Amino acid sequence: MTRGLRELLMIKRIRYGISILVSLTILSLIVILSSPFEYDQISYNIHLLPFSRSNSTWPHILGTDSLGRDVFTRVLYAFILDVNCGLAVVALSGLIGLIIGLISGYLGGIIDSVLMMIMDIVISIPGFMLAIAIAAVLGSSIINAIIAVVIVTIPVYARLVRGLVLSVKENLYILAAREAGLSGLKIITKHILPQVTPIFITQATIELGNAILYIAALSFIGLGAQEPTPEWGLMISTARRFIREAWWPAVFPGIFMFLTILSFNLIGDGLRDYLDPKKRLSTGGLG
Amino acid sequence: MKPLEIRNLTIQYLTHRGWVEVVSHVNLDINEKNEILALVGESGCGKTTLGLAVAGLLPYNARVINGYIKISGKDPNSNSVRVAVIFQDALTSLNPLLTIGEQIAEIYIHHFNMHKREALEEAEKILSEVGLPGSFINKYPHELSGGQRQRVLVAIAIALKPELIVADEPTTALDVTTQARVLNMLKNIVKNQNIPMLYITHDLALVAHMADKIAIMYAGQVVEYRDKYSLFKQPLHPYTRALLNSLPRVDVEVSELQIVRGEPPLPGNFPNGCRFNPRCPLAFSRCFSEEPSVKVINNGFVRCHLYA
Amino acid sequence: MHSDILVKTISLKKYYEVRSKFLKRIIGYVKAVDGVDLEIKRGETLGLVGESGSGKSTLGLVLSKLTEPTSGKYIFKGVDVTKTPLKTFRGKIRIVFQDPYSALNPRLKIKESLIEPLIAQGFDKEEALAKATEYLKLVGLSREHLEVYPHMLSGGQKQRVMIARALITEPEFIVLDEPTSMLDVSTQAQILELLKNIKLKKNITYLFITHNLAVARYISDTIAIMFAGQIMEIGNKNTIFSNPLHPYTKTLISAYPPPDPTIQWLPEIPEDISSLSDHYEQGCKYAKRCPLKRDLCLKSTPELIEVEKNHSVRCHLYKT
Repeated sequence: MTRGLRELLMIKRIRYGISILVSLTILSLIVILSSPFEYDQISYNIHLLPFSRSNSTWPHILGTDSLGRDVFTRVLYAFILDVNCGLAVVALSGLIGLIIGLISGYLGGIIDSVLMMIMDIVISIPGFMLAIAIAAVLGSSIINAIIAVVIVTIPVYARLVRGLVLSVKENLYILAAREAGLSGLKIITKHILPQVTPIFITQATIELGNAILYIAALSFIGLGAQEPTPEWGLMISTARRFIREAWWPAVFPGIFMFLTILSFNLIGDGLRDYLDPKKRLSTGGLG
Repeated sequence: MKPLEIRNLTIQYLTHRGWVEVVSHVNLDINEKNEILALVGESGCGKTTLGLAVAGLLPYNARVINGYIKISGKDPNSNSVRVAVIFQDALTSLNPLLTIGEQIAEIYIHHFNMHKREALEEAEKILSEVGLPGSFINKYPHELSGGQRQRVLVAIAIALKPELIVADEPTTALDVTTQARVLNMLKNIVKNQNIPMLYITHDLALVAHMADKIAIMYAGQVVEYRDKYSLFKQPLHPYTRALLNSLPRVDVEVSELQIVRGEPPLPGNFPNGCRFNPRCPLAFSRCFSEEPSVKVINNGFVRCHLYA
Repeated sequence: MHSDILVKTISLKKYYEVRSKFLKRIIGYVKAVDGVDLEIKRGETLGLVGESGSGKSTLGLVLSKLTEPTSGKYIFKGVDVTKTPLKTFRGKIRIVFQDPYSALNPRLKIKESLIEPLIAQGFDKEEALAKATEYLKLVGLSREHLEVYPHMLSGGQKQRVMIARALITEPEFIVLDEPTSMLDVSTQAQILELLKNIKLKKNITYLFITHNLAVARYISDTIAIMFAGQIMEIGNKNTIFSNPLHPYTKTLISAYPPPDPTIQWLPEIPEDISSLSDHYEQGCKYAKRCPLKRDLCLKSTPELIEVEKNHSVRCHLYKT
């Protein structure tokens, strides 16, 4: 286990990604624990102030937004919120997609056809449109936004896992396990799941970035987080009107969101590379 | 000039453990144009690598560190040499999208600068050499049986008018009845068209009827090289004897097969001294410390301390 | 007398459906096994010989209960088990596959793969590991091999593990599907020897499937020659070789080169442009390739009839 981790950390992309995440996490913890400002501390007389113009004892490092709230504090609270929302989305849709994919791939037949038909229907509707529709029906809240994104992304995992299950199922040792008398469930957990998990986790890591983007986008158009929740998409939306007078309340949420999503993509990309050529090198074929 | 001359050939492969020796100090000849030299051995013996080297097809992670190969006096990698190769797997050796005629014609177009129409005519003619009807030039590989595909590979090989054919387990994937026919065809081609052949296989029974000369390979070395009759009449090397005696037979009842314990060593794991010593039933003290050198006997040689 | 017979099949058939691409309608059948009647006595080794496409592996799958026959009966120890699921046998019927390289999960240690059949039956891990060690020794390996991964073993060693894995549930009947086809000749000899010894020690019945008639001759008591899903000739080994009856059997025997250049090798292979799956719809399946075919052979399928004691053949050239 630790040897694998050490090897993973040798990959540059993974190191960079993790560094960004760790830095942002530490920053957020510092802010949450010791920021002199509340994330919803409204103060009209200091609204839309850039760094240079702050006049309280503590500086507003990134300025203030249209309601006088400290941008720096809010941006990092949003980091925690958005990442957690992303994690919630990935955990839920990943788990459900995993189960659907395992059942569909292993059992085949009618069950597979029906499940995949449902997945195809969901996937054929443009993701964001579907998310908007679901969120609109359920009502504007961050929980409902999460539900909407979960529904939209389940098919991604289901199809990925199903494909992997189908290819692993072809191996002779699966037939041998059946011959040994192992039940379907045991075969899935002992033989199939260990091969599915690494690629699944890689995909999930990349999807984390997507999930955050979806949540932010839904919040941006008013269907996700509501005021005064510190959420990147919402922050950008609120700050849009004043962008000509004050660019910082709109731009910094975007920058931090970009860095966060980038770091997940880097890690996911690094994981994907780790899984692929490694297998080829280790066999060292002889003629 | 001899059709094939191999002197002191040593080849290494790059593995995750570094360079390992796969073929060691091999000396072999084909002296006549209608001669079949069989290279016989089990896994890890290096026969396929040797075959690739003769064909000039060694991959990038292999290197010759000693000795040479000469085909009619030329290096296998030179542009003027024509070596045809017949591999085991006819299915993946043929392009599924081109007709048989087109694939054979490619040889004529590329190597003899013929135009397409002329090349296709030649292709049709050569099909009869391998026992296939001329109409097959319009068929695709998937329409043919395994044996027929293998014949096509042979047609492509001889279309080249090669100076040497290297055949690596050409009949292993075929049914035994098909194999018998293909072997017959191969032998006729060698004898009638005067094309020498290096025939690589693990099947000792087969070479009793295919080959003129036989070289037994073990762990990268040629341990015995004799003409066919001498080898079977009086096998010298203990490994040769073990191979012969571990063959089940169809023509007689075999009550017991000779069991040699252990398995052939893989490159990188060759023992010290004689490479066969962990398994040899006749090994003695010298075998464990000293590599046996080659002892020449009439028209052959053996590499074993028993004969030093 | 009849309690002697461990395995019996009556008119066993296994057809695979061929469906059209669009509406998935059935457009034909691949008749892998097309009416097989055989009997295997307890303690016997039946060598099932056939070339590719003969259906021998499919018959092996049916007899090892990995797939159900399309029609016909499978009788085991006098009981009709045609529809009985594999689990009911509790490891009394096992199979050894041809490819030891793919039959072991490369990510699991040998011990994990070895105890699998016992875990499936409810043994606890301690007991299972103890048995695993015992059976490893039986097949010529040692306790150390429990902790290694498959890629560290040679082909022969992997196959020994698979044999141990089959033996560990103390089966009465083992189907061996080309167990030595992927091994070197010298390794093959070791494994055949091992199988012979184990059979004597444990009194197991074997169905030994192979394309190699020489291997079949060495290891079998009875030999069955299979072609296009049917048994063409079946009988005591010695009788088959001293008096081969079916034209296909004779062709097969002649196709093997004897490892002796002084013996003249004259294979009697009829010139054949058709592929193995190409045979006339009615009549004898071998007729299309048979040099001795007559009108009757194209019209009616011959029955399997006993020509002499312990020797039956399916060919119009013979009568009871």
